[in-house]
Amino acid sequence: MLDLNAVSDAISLLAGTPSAWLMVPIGLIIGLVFGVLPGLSVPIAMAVFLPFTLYMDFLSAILFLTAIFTGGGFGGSVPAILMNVPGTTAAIATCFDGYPMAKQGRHNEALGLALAASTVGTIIGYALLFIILEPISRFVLQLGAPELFLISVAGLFLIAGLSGMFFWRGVLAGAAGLMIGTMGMSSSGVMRGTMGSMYMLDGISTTAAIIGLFAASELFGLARREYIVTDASARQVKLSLIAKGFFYAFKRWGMIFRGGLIGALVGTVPGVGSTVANLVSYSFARSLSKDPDSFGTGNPDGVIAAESANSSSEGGSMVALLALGIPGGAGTAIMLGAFAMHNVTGGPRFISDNKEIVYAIIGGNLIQALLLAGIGLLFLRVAVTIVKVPLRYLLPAITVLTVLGSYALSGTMVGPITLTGAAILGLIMKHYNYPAVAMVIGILLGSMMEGNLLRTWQLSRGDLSIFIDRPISLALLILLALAVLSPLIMRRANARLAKQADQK
Amino acid sequence: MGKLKRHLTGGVGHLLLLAGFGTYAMWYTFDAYAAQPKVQNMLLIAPASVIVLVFVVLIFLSEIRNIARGAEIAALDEGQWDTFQQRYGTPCAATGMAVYVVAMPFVGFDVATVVFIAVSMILQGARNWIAIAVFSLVVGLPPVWALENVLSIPVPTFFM
Repeated sequence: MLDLNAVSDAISLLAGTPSAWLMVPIGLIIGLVFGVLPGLSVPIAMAVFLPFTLYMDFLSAILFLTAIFTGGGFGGSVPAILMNVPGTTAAIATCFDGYPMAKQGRHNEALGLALAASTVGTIIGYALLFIILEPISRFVLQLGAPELFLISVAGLFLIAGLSGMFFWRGVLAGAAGLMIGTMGMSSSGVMRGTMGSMYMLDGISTTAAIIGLFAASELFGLARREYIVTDASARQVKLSLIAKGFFYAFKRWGMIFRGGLIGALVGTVPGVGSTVANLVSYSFARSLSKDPDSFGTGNPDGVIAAESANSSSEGGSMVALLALGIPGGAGTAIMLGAFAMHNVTGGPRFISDNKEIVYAIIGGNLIQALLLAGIGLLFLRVAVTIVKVPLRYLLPAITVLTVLGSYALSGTMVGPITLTGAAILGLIMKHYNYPAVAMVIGILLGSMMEGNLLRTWQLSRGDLSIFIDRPISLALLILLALAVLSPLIMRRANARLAKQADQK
Repeated sequence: MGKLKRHLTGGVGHLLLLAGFGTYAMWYTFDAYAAQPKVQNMLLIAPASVIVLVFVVLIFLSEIRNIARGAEIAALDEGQWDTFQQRYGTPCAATGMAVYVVAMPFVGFDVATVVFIAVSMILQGARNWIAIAVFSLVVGLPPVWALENVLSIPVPTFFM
């Protein structure tokens, strides 16, 4: 239940901490810059600036870090739309329709859409956190290994929704991705696929592989052209068009709200986060659309669905951090570091003892989302000029930043080698109509699936009836079965209806 | 030459890709089994490997049928692309990136990055030597410097 006294204290706390409001715009700009540069992830930005938070009070420190998180979440969409290179892994689905829009000369509009969806998505995520923080934290605590495994299996279903006409090739790529994702040392300490190299103990660099699979085929393809947007008249940079896209997004309230809701809920599951959230939301938007074939060809709804979900998942990921004291991903792990630096321990006790601080963090982030709209608009005005730069300058610069960024992520040559290998594989897969997104989903879920399956096996001593003994996992199993069977049932029902109509 | 290229970018190339997937699945499964031949270690790897191999075989057979029907040869695209950049831009970019990454630890990140940018610009049609030199230095060196001095990541370099 909402504690109104704590809410009032939180407002006083926010009003009485001017230093926080000085740090938030700086954090947003840092996040935007790191998000725009492919390979340099938001957690890297947060890690680089973490030591600075030692000189801030706790609230300012957390708001500064969440500002980087928020700015980076949106920043990743800029290269995704302009170059088909997701700046962060959370912007994968933004590429699907954002880049086709850019190629049609609608880059201003697409970026405006993404900014609006990100702003509203962030607000939805934190507003939900504000309302459901306590009940959902109790629910998340009940998710054990069997449930987390089934959630990953549900994630694999995305392959069906995103593979389009080449479903079976998608299944092959997804299964190969699962295998790639498990390379390195397993949860039980066994080394597989390392080829005897100590650099492979952590497996391949997931982010580098994802950026390689997605970005490279497009980067290599761009080497044939002079500009990203071929038509010279479409290469205009107009704030009015960005604003048009921004306001158009508000006409698609249902889409933003659904994306925001999906993102926030997916974000609460530890280890899943924004990378999966944007794909789930996009897949839903496409399958529920009256015109699913228009997705992937520059449908604004695709951009809205992806961006609202990846932004709202930030609020969801804060559930595990604030309520349970466990990080749901790399970004929240760094925030946990800031907690420790200020001698604060997250968890149920933290919420009950410091409700006003928790509400102040949530309230601060709601205001931060509004600031993102203003700062983001000005930032986009500069970022969009990228379409006017000849590719002979742009392409080598982006390639170099991507390669060096992948080195920064891994600290070894595993990052750049993975990036290049994935890039060439992505190029070949694209040529033969293998959906790279299916392999990406496999890579993302591989290690999580294996870890949770192994823990389930150990918990049940090899007895798989554990999946039906636990109520939440049984409910998830039923939902999965319905998801598999519903298209068949629907198809049969439609065929019967069509037959009856013909007979009449 | 033209026919070989069309075969490689058509059905035969597809068969090679499938053979690559199959080889990877078998190698990784045997490697994992050799590391620890227990159910716990193969819980996910074994079923994923079976799925990969089954689909490799099915798609392989379907592609062979296409080849037998003579439907596998990719369409020639020479007519659409006139310049060297348009014809060979994509394979050159892929090869360039691979050479750049392989060269990085040997010649140093600074030299490799600057040379890669300059060569890429030339291959994409840049001919203003001053612009090439200035751009490759200005864009190539700061990120390498930032890796070492801002992010504190040790980087093999030649000059810096």
